[in-house]
Amino acid sequence: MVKVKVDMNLCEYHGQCVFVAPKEFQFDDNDELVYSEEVPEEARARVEKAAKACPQLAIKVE
Amino acid sequence: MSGRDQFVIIGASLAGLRAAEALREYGYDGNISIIGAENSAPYNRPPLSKQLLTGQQDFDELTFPVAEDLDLNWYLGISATGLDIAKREVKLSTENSLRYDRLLIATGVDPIVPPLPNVDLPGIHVLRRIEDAKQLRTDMNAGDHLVIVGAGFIGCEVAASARTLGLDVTIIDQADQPMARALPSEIAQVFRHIHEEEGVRFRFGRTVTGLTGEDRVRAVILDDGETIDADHILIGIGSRPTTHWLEGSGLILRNGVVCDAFCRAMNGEGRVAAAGDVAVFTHRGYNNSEMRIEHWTNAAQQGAAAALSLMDEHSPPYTPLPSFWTDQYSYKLQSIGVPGVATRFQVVSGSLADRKFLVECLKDDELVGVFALNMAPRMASYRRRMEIKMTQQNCQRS
Ligand SMILES: Cc1cc2nc3c(=O)[nH]c(=O)nc-3n(C[C@H](O)[C@H](O)[C@H](O)COP(=O)(O)OP(=O)(O)OC[C@H]3O[C@@H](n4cnc5c(N)ncnc54)[C@H](O)[C@@H]3O)c2cc1C
Ligand code: SF4
Repeated sequence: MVKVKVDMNLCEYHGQCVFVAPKEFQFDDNDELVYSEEVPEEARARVEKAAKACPQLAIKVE
Repeated sequence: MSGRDQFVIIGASLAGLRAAEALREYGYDGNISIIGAENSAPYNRPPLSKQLLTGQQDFDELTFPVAEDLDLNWYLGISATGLDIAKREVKLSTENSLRYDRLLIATGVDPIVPPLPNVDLPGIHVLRRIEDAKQLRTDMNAGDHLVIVGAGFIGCEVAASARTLGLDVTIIDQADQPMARALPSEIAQVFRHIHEEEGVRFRFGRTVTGLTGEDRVRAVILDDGETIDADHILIGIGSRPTTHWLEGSGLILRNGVVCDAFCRAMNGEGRVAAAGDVAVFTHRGYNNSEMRIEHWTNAAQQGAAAALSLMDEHSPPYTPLPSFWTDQYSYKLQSIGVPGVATRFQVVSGSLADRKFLVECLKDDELVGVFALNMAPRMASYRRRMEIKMTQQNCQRS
């Protein structure tokens, strides 16, 4: 499994991650960012792409 | 050096880094050299006017993560000073030259400084590089009166950061509203009121005619004769593509490096491309209009696209959905598409008065852009919708 972490102190709700990787990142009904903290290996490329698209550099992928 | 293929990137920032990453992901196994005039490793610029000034983020948090297996040859603190297309060589400030098989130009823009007497006095700042931000931040701690020349994004963002820190802020602009070039009047007015409520003073329709001070700046003088005391001044009147080093190279320079629809530079013999703030390209999704986009998301995407179009002649044309955002106080404004061509705007959610809204920008009933103020969640689905439309149009037209 691949670990995903968003630093919510940095996140500015740009929603770039939601656009690039809608399966792994979403906004919920209260407009909060929700995301999968563990994703299967086959989703790695997509979450890494989301991390690169984040203007706040808030997403860490391990 | 061996006969390995040489990919050279000029400009070690967002577009340049994303280009290098895309090349390795594509499987490129030649040498990649990346030349950057600044001493620092690539870093993220948007926080320079925002979180960094307010102290929410520190300098070391801005560095882009760089994967080790990218295997790049770094030339930091070194500038490219010339380009010889026939010899396929870039001249460097070290007096050496680098030979390239493929070259990406990603040198960004430089702030415009008005030709006023005294403009180099201590206390007068521009804001583009991390060094600029360090000086501005140190200076802002030392005096209360900040005068900002130019009510564009950077001016307005710095105003918000400075007010958050309790400084006294005046913004001067020759236009009659903030961010006048990018925003429709209704939205610009919302920001004008937000700033005024936060205590910012505006002088619209005015230009600066003089700067006074001896060992450091003391005041600005306006065209109507008003004098405003200043401990420091930020000049944010726009920027100019960094292409001076390409003069005489044969590349076409017209407010940037002029490229085709694939980000390949005209007259570059198919071996030169440009990306990011410095690049002018033909957008197939918008009737082949020439565009130069000075925003983050474009630099990231175009860096990758331009590098790959030098690798593969069958690359698709570059047809991004333009987008930007700005953060001021607790307000985040986002924009996608080309609202500038809209003939009409409609509020589809929230309201201007509530300062939380979604505005569709229409041209003859076609959706050409969207603005969202503090409604980021709704933007992602619009973005997807408009990207799909862009791809479809693009297929029809090419
Ligand atoms: C204060 C500030 C706030 C911003 N806020 C936002 C925002 O909120 N939203 C948004 O969408 N965008 C924002 N931007 C814009 C965004 O940062 C840029 O679009 C982006 O940095 C462009 O990336 P780039 O790689 O094209 O150019 P740059 O980041 O400008 O990098 C170009 C690099 O090339 C180097 N260089 C120049 N000439 C040479 C040479 N001859 N040889 C070698 N190296 C050279 C420069 O030193 C520089 O490091 C902001 C910019 C600034 C300055
Ligand atoms: S892209 Fe980054 S800043 Fe934007 S919502 Fe995702 S994590 Fe937050």
